[in-house]
Amino acid sequence: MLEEQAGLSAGLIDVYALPLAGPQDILQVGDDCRGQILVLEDNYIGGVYDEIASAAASSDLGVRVDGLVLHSIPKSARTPEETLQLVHLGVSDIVNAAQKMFDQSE
Amino acid sequence: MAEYEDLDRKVIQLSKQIVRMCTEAGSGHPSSGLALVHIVTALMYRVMRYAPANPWNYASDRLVLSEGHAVPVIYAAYCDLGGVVGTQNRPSELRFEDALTFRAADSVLDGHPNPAIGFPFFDSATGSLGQGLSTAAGLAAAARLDRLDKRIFCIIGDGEAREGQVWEAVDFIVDHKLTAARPIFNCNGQGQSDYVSPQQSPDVIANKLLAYGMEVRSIDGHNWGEIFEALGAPPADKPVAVVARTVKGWGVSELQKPTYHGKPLKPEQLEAALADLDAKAAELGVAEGEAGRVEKIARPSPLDRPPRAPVSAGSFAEAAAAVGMEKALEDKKLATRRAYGMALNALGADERIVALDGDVKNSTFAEWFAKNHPERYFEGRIAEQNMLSTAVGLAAAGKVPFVSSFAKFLIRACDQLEMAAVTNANVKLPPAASCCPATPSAPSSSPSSWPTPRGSATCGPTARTCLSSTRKTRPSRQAASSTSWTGRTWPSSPAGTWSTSPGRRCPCWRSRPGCRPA
Repeated sequence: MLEEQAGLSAGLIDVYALPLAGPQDILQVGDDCRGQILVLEDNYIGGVYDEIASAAASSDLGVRVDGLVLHSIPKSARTPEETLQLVHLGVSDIVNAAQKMFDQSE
Repeated sequence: MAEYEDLDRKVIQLSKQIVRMCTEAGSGHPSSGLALVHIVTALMYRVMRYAPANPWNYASDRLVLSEGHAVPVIYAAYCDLGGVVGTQNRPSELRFEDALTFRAADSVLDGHPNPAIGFPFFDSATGSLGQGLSTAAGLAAAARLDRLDKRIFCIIGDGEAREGQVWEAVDFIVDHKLTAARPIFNCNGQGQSDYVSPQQSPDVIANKLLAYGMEVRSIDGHNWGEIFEALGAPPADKPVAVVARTVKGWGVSELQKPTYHGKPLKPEQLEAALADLDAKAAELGVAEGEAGRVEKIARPSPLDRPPRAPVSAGSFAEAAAAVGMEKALEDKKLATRRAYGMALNALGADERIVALDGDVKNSTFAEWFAKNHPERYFEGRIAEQNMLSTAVGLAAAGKVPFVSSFAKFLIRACDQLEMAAVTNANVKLPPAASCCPATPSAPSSSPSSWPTPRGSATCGPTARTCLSSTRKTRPSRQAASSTSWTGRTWPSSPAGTWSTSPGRRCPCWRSRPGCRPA
């Protein structure tokens, strides 16, 4: 959708599938992707987001880190897509956040 | 049984709706709801004194569904009764068929009781098991303070009765003689993955309740006569508990299979289930005729709450003098825990303020409040989880509870705290001694790494919930920490993510969920 609508391409890291990757490895990937990382987390705290952001702050790579985490308490919905939309973590929210990040770096 | 023909018809109608609404939602717990269909029908159509049109009336009898997953039965009944949902400014009345919106994104009929989204019939979010009876105790405590004769019914699952907090709550109810609370144990014999342990059999639960000091009514949970006798029995000196033997999936053979916890029937199974219930109706002799309006609901006693005039907590000097701390002004020094106790005592001028403490009141200085406002102080003893969920009940009834203990001990109530946040409960938590080097007491009683949901209403000592001055200077130097602050500076933390020590975090921060050592 990101590519279709905005002509943006993005690398995707599944943090759970990379158990040995530390923030430094992820920062390196971000460095290869225009120096931009958007962290998506379906929890309140944003622990991975914080971790990567604090690693970025103390590195000299100049990688910018943004994150989407839960800012509201979820409620029931009948499909996962609906639930994610309710907490503003739906596909369109992700695309908008990526677009905004891209635009701001122009 | 001709006496209860009309109720039998109603039970069949509601049972069909329970099965339908879960199939429509594609998820839910129809079998648990069916086990409770007689008890809930008795409560909501006959026993409880309340007005479905005004769920905000504090004087009403209340129902706490501790085993929140069984909620379809309550939704089915509440929709049938034209119950009101939404907010007081924008109320809306449910209709029978609204039950079929169960679990939809735009419905207030959430998967588990969730008052904050607009279902004020409930006082607290439940579903994380073991917490409801504590909330019922809080509601009963508030009722006593308000001199209301309301009753609080609380339904607890037999599998759920394994949770230690249930027994903390029973102790609390007996300790404080909260006879308005009536626990109802729903003993259907099945848990999620297996039958319940013999330790949670009806007889063993009943014996435990007797040993704790309650009176017990053991009943067949599908027998009207026994249900009405047990629910209506007036409390004597002791609180009364009901132990009800029930059938999980009552009336529907497929749903009685042990594997059916938390599973709806598939659409193609629906017809057979409805046929089962028709057969049940025939067996009860009510195959003919429609279920009509069978409710005979008594109104609650009128709420006689005088209008509240603003009160002043007085000046700092007065607050200090009230607890013998005049010298603090001279010395220009005051330990934060004494400041807490002093402020709490002064705030006690407002009748809404209540306090609970977990047997450390002489450390947190909640004892000053306890001494001066004994009727509004509830000693929680060493049972922090119960204390927190009890506070949720007090808050639901309009009180403003302050819950104090050492942060380390409140950590065990993190789940209760999250449920308080989901409820949007107005609960204040001033945890003492909440950072690593705070006291010489060793890690077993002082350090705390306490993640809190960002942006939620009640978690932790954040701006909205904490009275002690954690957000001012030297935030890590917490309430009871006046003795041994080492002056060490911890690495700075991203703003807003950390509640007990904003701006700094403890070395133990890496233990929080979602976080791995680099």
